[in-house]
Amino acid sequence: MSQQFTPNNPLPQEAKVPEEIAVFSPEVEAEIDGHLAKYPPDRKRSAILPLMFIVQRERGGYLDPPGVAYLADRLGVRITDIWEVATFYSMINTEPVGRFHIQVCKTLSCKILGAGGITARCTEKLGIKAGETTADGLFSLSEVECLGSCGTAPMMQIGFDYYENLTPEKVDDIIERCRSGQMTNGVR
Amino acid sequence: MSQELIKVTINGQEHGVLKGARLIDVCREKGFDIPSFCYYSDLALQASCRMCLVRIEKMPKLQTSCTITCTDGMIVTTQSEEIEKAQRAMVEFLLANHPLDCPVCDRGGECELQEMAFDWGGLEERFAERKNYAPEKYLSPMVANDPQRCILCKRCTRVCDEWMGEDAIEAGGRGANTVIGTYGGWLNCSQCGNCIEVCPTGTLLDATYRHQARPWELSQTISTCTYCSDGCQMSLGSRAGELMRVVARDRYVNGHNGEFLCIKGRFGHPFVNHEGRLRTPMIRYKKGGKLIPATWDEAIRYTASKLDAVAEAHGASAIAVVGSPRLTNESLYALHKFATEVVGTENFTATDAFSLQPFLDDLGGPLATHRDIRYARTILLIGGEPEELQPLTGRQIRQAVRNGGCQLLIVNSIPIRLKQHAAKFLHVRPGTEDAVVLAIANQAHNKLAAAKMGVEEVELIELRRALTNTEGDIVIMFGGELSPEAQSIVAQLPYTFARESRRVLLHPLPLYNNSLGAHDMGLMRGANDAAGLVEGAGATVRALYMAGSFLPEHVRGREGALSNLDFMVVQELFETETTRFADVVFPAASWAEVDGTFTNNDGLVQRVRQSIPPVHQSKPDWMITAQLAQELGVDFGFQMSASAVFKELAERVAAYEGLRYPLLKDETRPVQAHYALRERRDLSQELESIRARVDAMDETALKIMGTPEVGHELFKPGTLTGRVPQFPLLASGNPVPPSMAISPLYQITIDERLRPTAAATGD
Amino acid sequence: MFIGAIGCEPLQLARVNLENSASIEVYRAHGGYEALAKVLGGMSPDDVIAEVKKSALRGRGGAGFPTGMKWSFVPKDSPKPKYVVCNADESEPGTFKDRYLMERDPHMLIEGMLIAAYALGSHTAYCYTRGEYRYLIEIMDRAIEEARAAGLVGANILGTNFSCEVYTHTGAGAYICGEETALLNSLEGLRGHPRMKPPFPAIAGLYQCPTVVNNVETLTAVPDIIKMGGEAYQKLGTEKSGGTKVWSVSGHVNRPGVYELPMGYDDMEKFIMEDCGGIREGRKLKAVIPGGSSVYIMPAEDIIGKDVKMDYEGLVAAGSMVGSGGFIVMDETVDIFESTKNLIEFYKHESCGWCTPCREGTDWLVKIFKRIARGEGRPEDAQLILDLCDNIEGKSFCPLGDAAAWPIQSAIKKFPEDFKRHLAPLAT
Ligand SMILES: Cc1cc2nc3c(=O)[nH]c(=O)nc-3n(C[C@H](O)[C@H](O)[C@H](O)COP(=O)(O)O)c2cc1C
Ligand code: SF4
Ligand code: FES
Repeated sequence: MSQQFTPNNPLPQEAKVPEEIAVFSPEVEAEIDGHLAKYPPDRKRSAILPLMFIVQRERGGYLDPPGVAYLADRLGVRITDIWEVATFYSMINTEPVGRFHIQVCKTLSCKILGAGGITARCTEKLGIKAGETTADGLFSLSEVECLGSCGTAPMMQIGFDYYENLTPEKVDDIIERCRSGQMTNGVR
Repeated sequence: MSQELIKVTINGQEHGVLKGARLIDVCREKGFDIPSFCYYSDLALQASCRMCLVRIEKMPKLQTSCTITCTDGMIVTTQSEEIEKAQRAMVEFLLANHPLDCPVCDRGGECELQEMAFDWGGLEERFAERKNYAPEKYLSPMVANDPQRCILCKRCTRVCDEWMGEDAIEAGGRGANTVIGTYGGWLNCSQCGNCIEVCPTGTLLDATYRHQARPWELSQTISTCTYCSDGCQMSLGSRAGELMRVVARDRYVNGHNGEFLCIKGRFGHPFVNHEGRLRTPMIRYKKGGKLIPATWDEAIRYTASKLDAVAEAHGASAIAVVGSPRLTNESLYALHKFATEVVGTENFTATDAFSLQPFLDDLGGPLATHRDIRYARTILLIGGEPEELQPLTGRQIRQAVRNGGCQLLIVNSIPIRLKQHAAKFLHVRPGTEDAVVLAIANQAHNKLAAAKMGVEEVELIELRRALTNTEGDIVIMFGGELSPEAQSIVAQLPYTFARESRRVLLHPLPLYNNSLGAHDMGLMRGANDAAGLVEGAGATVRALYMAGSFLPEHVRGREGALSNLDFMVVQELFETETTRFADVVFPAASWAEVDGTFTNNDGLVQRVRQSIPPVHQSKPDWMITAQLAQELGVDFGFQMSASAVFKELAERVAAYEGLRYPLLKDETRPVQAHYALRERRDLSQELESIRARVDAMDETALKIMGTPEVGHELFKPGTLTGRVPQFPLLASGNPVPPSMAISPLYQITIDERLRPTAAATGD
Repeated sequence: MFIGAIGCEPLQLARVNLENSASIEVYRAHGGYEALAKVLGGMSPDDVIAEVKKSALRGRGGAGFPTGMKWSFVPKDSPKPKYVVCNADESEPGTFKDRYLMERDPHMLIEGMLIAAYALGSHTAYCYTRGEYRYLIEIMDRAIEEARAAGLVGANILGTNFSCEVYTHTGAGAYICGEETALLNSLEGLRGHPRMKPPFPAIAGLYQCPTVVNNVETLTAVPDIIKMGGEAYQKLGTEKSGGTKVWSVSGHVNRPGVYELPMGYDDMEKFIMEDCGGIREGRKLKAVIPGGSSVYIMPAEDIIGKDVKMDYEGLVAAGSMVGSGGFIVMDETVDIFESTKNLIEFYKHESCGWCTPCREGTDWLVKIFKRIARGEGRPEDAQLILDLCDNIEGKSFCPLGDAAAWPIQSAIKKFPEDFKRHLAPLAT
């Protein structure tokens, strides 16, 4: 997703608990504790990326303000610290994304083996260009850099799942399965 | 850094340099110019602008001189074709996406990027592509931002973090999309504006001065800040009798504060040309009547006759003389002289929040300068809240801890923000600060003190050990919480703790720009303090001559007392609570309109210089006093020049002996008043009375919880800062405006209820 | 996709094709954790480092720095904790070997990390894996739990007094976090900007403590080195670069895949034309990028009939580098201008933005390439591009700047025709 950060509901600078802050189920809290346990107690901040993935999974695919507030509070850092980190990493979304985030690799090996055709077919099927999200919020389409499937190019990733050795026909099928709800995995 | 010298060859010349010195500094010192943007001395290294490239023998590729520490036998080239090509290339890169809109940029004329481009010349523009676009916006009522001009030197983010400890502004995004900003785009911080100051380009700009003037139209006057007692050096930029802005840019001024200023120093100046300034002398011919404009001659004559009458009827001591600790030494001296030599009353004082007289009388060690604080090994802070009341001291403490590894010991009844940097924080019960002094002076009282303060006894033992284990300087700071006896004891602590290898330096934390001067001029030695005089109004005191106004706490509980006076004359900038009772009001000139000196909490006697002529009919306070004296038959012989006043006071005030304006000319070499140290004396009486008081303290009192918000003091709109609309706006929570493209002032009206009461720091 | 060894016994890839090779049972059934046992059974940390030095193992992450030497930089006496960090951020275009090593044989990596930890006196090892490889992190987590259950991870490993925790850590989409110091910043929860060197990680790395960062393939080589001994391992390869190297082959070959070759495997031509099954649809070979996108591109002429040795020295001699071993093959249909544009877009997207030349330079270059692609090329652009590359190369804060410049420089040098065509659009 775009690196540019678009301002939305601002929160206090200090890591003091803001008015609205996300809450999570005991299971999720346990998962979070699990990650925090990996690092020295005075180095909680190290868990910022793992926690961001969890929060964006739980908060509808992106770091919404309550989610950001939660992170700042949980890690004992300032809101700005969350922001500076979140906007640096391309997998952390600061804006909403579709339920199925289709990421087509556009880098050299995929490119010379037909990545262009894959993106084109997605656009055709979904009616959105790279960087856009369908009106129904079901799909987002991005072109991303090398995902390490050069040997099985062309490829795309939906959520965390790899789809390799693609052909336009396979793309049709995958998108259909997403639509018809047979595909359970995805962004969340 | 060790004192050992090593040899470094720069461009063929061999130089002896201090081991461990930074190459870029050395080169510049030796006269070889090295361009740089991101390097800023005493901030974390960045090495991102890549301007400071040099060639060092036996090293691959060009090296950034900002990251190289000199080693013996190093051979350096700072000028060559290769290096110039690289440096030109960096400037070209920086200009690639830069809008090149210097003609409409507030920084134009004092922009480091612009200068770099102009100085070198011959930069043909090869960038023929579309520039990345990002709209201009406001980050806060004080800070305007044009992201496109940013070269990402990150001075701003480092200053925000390392100087202010706030980390409010950061870099977001990645690669070419990197932007300086905050989450949500709105800046909640102490609004010191130091990010603006250190910004080499027009990216971060003073929103209060936006599009008001071009730098080259301004005449720059080096002066001293009129707010807190740190006495930052600043450059007042004025045009045609109007004060346009205040900066501390090192191209104009190089005081002990470097480029640091706080919100008040930087943004608190617009009161000077405020339409509310008093224009002419005014006389209230009958009590309860209106103040009616009058000529100076008439007002002076009228005042003189009234004072005469009171002296006739009730004797000289029925006349009280009061000055504000914001006035220059010259004006305060004149007032003291007036009280003692013209009127002959012992009823004189300054309207300071608390007296440091006991401390100064027993002073047993040197006062710490702000430089001493930066390089201290241990800092003991008793009471006070420097980050809000003496921001420069606050920064020095932070720098000492973060860059200097100093241990910070804090004793405070409030969990102030500085505690996050403290090695030890004693959270004591309100009003028990004296107890810690008792314990430090005599361990025998540890148990008692600990119980009363509500801390563990071991903490006191550790506190003392921290002091006795220190190698290097100890700086002891204290605020207004200490009793007079406790002040005396602190003043004498150097005799207990100083060693060969350990200086003990003292740093009082008074509230006003010239609190110390007020003491030096003798005004705090009067028979009564300000509250006392108000108390006596109408009884012991029949007439009051004052320059400035009373603080809220002086009149609290004595409201209306002033109306019992037979006669009251006030010199002021604005109509205030105090002038309401005045029979005569003289329009006084502000700090920007006068020459003189302030003495800061280091004891540095620093120059105040006239930036604009006095507004309307106002006059410098000392001049008014002198004219009044004249009218009463005493010629002060000041010949209308502040320097003459200073010359006289330097002859009369021991600590200022030998000082003259020419010797105070250079703000880069500030001069400290030489206070006579009092020899070690027996303090058992003081100790005893403190012990008694501590003994009586309540052991069950609740502690104050919750760290105060950033700006809870700084933002409070006072008589001066209240005239600057941004302050009430910030004081009411710095609300986010509907649009960040427009100054919030035009979008937000502040709910009266949100206006806090006058600042505790008075003014 | 092919995965296996050519011209040598598979070492790294010994188990990858076995039935559920990721399980600890299979790993142990095929000599897994024997090296660890041997080490804990009586080798001193210095012995281990000595063996690794003898093996002439060079870092597989791209820099090719001798691993044994790197390990010996870690101060023995330092009171601070020491850390081992596995660099599994594999983001170099054309590189995917680490992915299959971890997917098919995670325990080999765990064993390697444990041995490294023992050698360096470390008790905590992190495996920093790129965020997109989520499924690998899950595989690793499972493997770590298996190993813990078997008393191979955690306290008193194999009943000795050596204890070591192994943790996975996820990246979140940033190529630069593969650079070891940026990785450490990222692991500390900061933006992934590289750090100033010195101090090197071995002195002040993670949390300012002594740290060794090694690539997956580097660490997975360690168990075999211990088992067969440093010398034997070195002999598999050449004198300066010992052992085997795992190559990721992609592009227009009939048999892309992960190939383990002995260091110094000779003749790149044979490798492409026979081992990798030759060029698809019988087309002609045009160019090869042998070491991941960051190295010089090689035209066919420099390969055909030149019997190029596939090791560090051989590739340098042939005008390129081993880099990360991301072997990208391009046939005659590829327009080198287009492929170069594709790579510079990658570097622009991945530039961390810290330093001027890389941040502004890549942005500018992309704009030029896009303009040229729009048919607005000018003859003088070639000179401009080369000059910009020269202004980036060697001036940037970390090697990413150089990595962005090299492919372009070599592409223009080796394939002037492909550029001319675009730069004088009207002429053609
Ligand atoms: C821009 C850049 C990207 C890098 N990416 C990786 C990477 O993805 N994986 C890796 O192992 N090393 C990568 N490296 C190399 C690391 O900096 C470091 O040299 C390596 O992890 C050391 O391990 P080794 O000695 O085992 O090779 C990268 C270096 C640079 C400059
Ligand atoms: S710190 Fe004090 S002296 Fe310095 S600018 Fe701020 S108010 Fe003025
Ligand atoms: S000053 Fe050295 S890199 Fe910026």
